[in-house]
Amino acid sequence: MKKYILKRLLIAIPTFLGITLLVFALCYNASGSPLELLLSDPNISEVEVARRAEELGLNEPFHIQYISWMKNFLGGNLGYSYRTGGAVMDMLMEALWPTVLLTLSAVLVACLISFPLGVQSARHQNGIWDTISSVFSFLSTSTPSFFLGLVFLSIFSVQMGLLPIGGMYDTGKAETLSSLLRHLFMPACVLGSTMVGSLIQYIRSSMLEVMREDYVRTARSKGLKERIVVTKHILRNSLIPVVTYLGMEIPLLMGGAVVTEQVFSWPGLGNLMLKSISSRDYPVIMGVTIITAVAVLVFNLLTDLVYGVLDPRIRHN
Amino acid sequence: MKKKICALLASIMVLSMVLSGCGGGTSTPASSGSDSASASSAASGAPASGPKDEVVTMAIISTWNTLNIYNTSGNYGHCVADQMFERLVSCTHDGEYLPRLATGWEMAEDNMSMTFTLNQDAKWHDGEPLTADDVVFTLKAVTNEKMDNYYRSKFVSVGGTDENGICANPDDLQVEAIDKYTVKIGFSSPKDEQTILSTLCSFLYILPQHILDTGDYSSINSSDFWSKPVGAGPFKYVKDTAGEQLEMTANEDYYLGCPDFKTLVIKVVPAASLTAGLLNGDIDVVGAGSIPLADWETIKASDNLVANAITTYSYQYMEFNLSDNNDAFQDPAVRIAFDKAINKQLMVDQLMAGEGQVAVGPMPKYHPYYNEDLVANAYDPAAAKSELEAAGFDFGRTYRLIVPQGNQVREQSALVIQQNLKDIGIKVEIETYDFATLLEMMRNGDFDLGLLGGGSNIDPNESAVIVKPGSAQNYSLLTDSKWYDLAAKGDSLVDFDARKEAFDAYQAALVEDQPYIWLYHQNNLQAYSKRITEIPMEDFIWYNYEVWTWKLA
Amino acid sequence: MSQKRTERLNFIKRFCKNKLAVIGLVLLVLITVTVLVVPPLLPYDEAEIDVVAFSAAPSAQHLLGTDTTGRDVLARLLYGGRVSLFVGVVSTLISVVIGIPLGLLAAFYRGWFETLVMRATDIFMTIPSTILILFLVSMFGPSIVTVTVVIGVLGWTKFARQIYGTVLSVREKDYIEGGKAIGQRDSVIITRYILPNAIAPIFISITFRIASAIILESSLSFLGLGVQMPAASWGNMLYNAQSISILKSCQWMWLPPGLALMVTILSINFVGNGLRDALDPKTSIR
Repeated sequence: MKKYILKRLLIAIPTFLGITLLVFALCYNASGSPLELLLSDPNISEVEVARRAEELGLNEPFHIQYISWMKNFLGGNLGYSYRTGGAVMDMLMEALWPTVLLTLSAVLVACLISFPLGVQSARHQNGIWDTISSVFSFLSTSTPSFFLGLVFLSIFSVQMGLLPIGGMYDTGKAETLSSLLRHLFMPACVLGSTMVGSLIQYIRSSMLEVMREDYVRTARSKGLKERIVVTKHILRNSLIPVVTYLGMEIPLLMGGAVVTEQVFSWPGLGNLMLKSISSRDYPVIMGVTIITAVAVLVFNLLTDLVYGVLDPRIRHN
Repeated sequence: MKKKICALLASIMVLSMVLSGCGGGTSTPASSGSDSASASSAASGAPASGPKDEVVTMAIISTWNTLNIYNTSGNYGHCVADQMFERLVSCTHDGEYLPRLATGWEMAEDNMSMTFTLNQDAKWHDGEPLTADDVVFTLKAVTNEKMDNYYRSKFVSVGGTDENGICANPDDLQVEAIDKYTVKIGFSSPKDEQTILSTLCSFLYILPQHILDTGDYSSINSSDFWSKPVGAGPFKYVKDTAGEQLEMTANEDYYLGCPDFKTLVIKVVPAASLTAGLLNGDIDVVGAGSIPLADWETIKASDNLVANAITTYSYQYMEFNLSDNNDAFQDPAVRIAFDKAINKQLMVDQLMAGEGQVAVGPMPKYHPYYNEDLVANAYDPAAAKSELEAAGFDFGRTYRLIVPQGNQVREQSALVIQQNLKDIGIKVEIETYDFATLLEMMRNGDFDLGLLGGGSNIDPNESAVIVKPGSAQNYSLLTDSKWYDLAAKGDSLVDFDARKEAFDAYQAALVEDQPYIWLYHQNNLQAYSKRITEIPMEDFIWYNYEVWTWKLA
Repeated sequence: MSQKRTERLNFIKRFCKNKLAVIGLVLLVLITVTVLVVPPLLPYDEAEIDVVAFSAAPSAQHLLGTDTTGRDVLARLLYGGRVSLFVGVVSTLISVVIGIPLGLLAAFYRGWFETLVMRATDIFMTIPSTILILFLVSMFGPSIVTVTVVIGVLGWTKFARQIYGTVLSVREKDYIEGGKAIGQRDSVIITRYILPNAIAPIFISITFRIASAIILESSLSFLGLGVQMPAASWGNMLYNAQSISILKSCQWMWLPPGLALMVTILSINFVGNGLRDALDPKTSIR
């Protein structure tokens, strides 16, 4: 087990380095230097722009800039935003938790919808539940999240005035749990809906496979109650591929959250990324890309761990 | 002229109302010598009832990038600096300068120096009095290379600085504290009073000598002072989150009158979210930025809001690639024909719902230096087409119009331009880019037509930089200096009538040859909650919030 | 060889029995034909401004009304359909052209090439694709070409892995050994024995990938980082819908492109599912 994890970690490191190099190289060569914005201001002379360039180290060659960035990074310093002047690390940490909250809530919503539907449609194939889950499945994979978000906003916020338009809390007032939940509800549902389709399928097919196994028939012939057969034997064993799937999907969800965050003005990483892109705020762009890559790597590692725990065959191999 | 008198009277009325408010303070008239607010000085003896325990939230659409106003680029730094720091004068919408820290000022006979009398009640937030020494210290620091100052070049008028506004030896700078409350500033050449006031109003925020004077100006740059600034303004710093929100509390000892409410929060809110915030009460005032046009009717119809469309001095223009190796637009007849081909009135009527004006030159009709004799080219596509044909214009090519992203009306105006030109047979392709990339392309001459805006201050000379060959803002890459020379001449004169004559000639030349096509002036669409009963919103265009004059219901 | 023919006929028969799949196919064909054929017949094109009708509700002149810049919504809907379909199909083709050869050769020849390719798929699958796409598109400047290429280049891993798996399972089979024994060239072995078995699942993946690519492009355009104005795409038509007033009172501006997206993607998914069920009835949903 330990060797397994160690091996995975060792592969992760060069992957990570490769990503940083790629991202940095792209930033370095991209058009639209932040200096252009300074130069466009008629009140700022070229002397002052040159001073700023010197200060930011923008005149240094590529490898020098990369190395100094790397040194700072290893010290926990991701630089300062061109747009807000704040420390990039602080901005990332502040935006990270809303995105994590949104992602996990979306997974929860998706599971709440998918599990009952998936289980029922596996147990009663071609029945009404099967039809309903197919419908849900198709609709969820075919509706772009931004459109669903706009429809939700249109119905619940604009027409009915029931739920807030955007943001994470009611501004100006205390940050209460109820205010958070009201703001979280729609984005979590929208983001979760993107997962529902494939999750239902996964649960269904996984259960169907397990149901065909011999030990299930054995359990039934032992006279165990159907409910216990389903929960103790079928569900537990069908969970493994589902958990693996969820583990792979969660980091991808973080990317998908970009659109949802934009529609609902949710102050997470995706929102931060968009703002930074439009203002060419390279330190933050690099920060967000790196942190999402790290999150994916960490999640993949965790999934492998959980997979190892759930499936003894992996552990002892 | 009438407008000026009205503005003057209005500001005096405001001044008297302010001075009769809580906290007291001596009242001194503005230097134009009109009736002073005599009634108020008697009434102001009573102690203040104190600010109401209320929170007012002001929204701005983009963030300041540091609280150090000298090291902040972009305009939004001024939104927060105005509340915490003091300037010698403040500026109204129409360009009148009102006393703020300076109660009075006088330009010398030879226009080579100006003397400012300071308000003796001004105090720093830590209780220390604000004196002429602070002003002198600030001027010496901001012109010194060791202190970071983006706007140093604006101080070029102060005697002792070089052409970049740098004064290497502080002792050479022509600023002097004549006594505790009087400052004299000398100039390198005769200057016009309004120009000096404009520079001081826009770029000089007074810094506390007793905190920042360490003997080394470079210590100011990354001093801890900026994480908890001590100013002398109507509000004191409490806390902030970079890029999002700044909270301040009222300065009850503010010398021009204590603010009516205790807490001011400035929030960064994207333009698209302003409406929602205003409607549900999260935002009380729009401080900088414009409400999207699509939401304007909703705002106007709301019972809780006062909608305010404010005229501005900013202008949008279309530029041609006039670099020497591009022949397409060198002939003025071609450019004039383009001007006739574009339906600017349609843009104002449809894209701005009438909230704006067609631009004849860079200055709008209400600008103090506007040349009333200017005659604009009428919208006449047929004439445009025949004139282009007569000039031998190349209709065969496709022309590239580059447009910056982020300003919806400007992006839409590009579509109108494309349609207008298509109607007379010119093929135009629109390319949109983020601002920084677009500027880079223009600098490299990688375009045919482009859209940009200007008008950041009320100086008649403001637009001259874009027609100055060799300047960093000359994005059309033109090489003929004749327009710039006219503006420079005006700028060097000190008598208003002489200046007006020179700038009239400048504007006439701009309209005659159209080095740029002046498109429109767009109004700022702003609003405030009816919680606030008095607020000088028109002055916000110069980041002059006069927060101490706001009144809550 | 006739065994192949009966297999193919059975495949087609099973597909046709699946009602949803047939509906999906018909809809897709309808949509494709409409967006290709109808636009030149319309009185307006996608960028034409009707100066008397800004933000106008549907009427006889403008069947779906106009948008905030006076452009006919129906025209933009159809031209936008062209763009969305184009990006979806072409970007998938790019992914296939990159992914298939890489995966195929990696599985066939193994060794260092295989390790290289598999590591590469690891790296690409680790980077969160949306963030990377946003990043790349903004660096290279948003446009139809950039969006197509970026989506295409980032989609190769799925195809590579899929064909890798198929080839690995087939390559040990006897007839491959036999072919090698009689000295058939590698390229012949690949084309005659390996590819035919791998094609069907690849087709299914292609179908689903086209759907994902369309969603990706429309999301990017919705964020303002995809197809730029004045070109229309279903995504960027929804870009302007982010204002409360438009959401509330101008449904004709944003419902048509959203619904068009849904119907198109739904049809593609029906077809994809139909193909999958026709190929292997055991894994069918219904």
